[in-house]
Amino acid sequence: MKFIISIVLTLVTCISFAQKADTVKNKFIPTGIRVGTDIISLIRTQTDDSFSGYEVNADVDFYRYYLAVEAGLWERKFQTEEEDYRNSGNYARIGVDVNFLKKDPDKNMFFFGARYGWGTYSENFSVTTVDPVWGTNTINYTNTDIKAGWFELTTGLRVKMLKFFWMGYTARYKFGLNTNEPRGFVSYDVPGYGKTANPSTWGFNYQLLFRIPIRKQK
Amino acid sequence: MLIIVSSCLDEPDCLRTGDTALVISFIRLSDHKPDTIILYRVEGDGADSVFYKYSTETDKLDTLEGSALLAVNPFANETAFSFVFETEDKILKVGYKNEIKFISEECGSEQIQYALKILETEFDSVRVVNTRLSTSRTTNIEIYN
Repeated sequence: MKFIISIVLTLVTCISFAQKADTVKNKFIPTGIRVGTDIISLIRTQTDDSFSGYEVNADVDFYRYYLAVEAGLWERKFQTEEEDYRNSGNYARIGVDVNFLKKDPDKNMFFFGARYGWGTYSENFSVTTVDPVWGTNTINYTNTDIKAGWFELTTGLRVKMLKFFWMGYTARYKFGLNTNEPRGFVSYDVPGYGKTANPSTWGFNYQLLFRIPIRKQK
Repeated sequence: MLIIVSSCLDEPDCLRTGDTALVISFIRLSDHKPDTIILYRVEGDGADSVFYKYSTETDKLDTLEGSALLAVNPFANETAFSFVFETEDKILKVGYKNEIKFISEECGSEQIQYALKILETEFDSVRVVNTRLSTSRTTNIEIYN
């Protein structure tokens, strides 16, 4: 009799553990993918003569953790009487955001996260130098297919506005920039990062996102 | 507000450290102290200007005390100087690399000369003590007499 009771208890315990494991496993199955764009880049493209570009954002949920992927194009142009700087390139970022509103039924987010960003770009700088001894000369400098990498710490919000429509912002602290340009022409501006003179810098995106459901939320 | 603060933080300083001035010091070999020499002029190969720093104490325009400030050609990777002394001329040819840096639209750009080396010289004893030309105007080349 004792033997039967112990077997039953063992089975009950095993089933209970299995159900818990299933529940935990289910929690980490994504419920949807959000895809959107940064409207600040789009507005700047229309209003700022020195900037042209766009950025696409996407994330997918694994319980309270979100795998985030971002990619964009970036062109900059600065002109003075003596100088003409232009760059163009693309960039991407990958990372994870952790949602601190884990019990929100709509999956609204207040998150902290991290990213690794990288980009490829080319830049051109033409400068006319007036030297009191050696005269005036215009020289053209070019960096081609430069690779850059950096890290970001992120924070922000995602708020559900309509059934599939979300809005939110991401603030970024960017640091640890590394570029591989040869000596001779110091890189000025890296797509996705900004000016290289800053060892760390800030970024801000305001995003419009559409959520494509994959499975029903429990 | 955040964007405004971020924009201000984004602006680099207009600080420049690059300079085309090459500082040459004349040193007495006997006691390693600054030497006073009679120098009529220094000519740069490709430039008309005559440039050297003269002593204000002695009030003699052809007397150079301690160091001379010469401008290297920022459009080339080498500059040859002819030092015209009272009895002879001597050549000093230096090589260097140029680097350009765009600071900002407001500040413009700066050029830096680095990796300075002696390519050719008729002086007996010359050494490079500082390979980067900078606004600090520290001695780049020492010439021993």
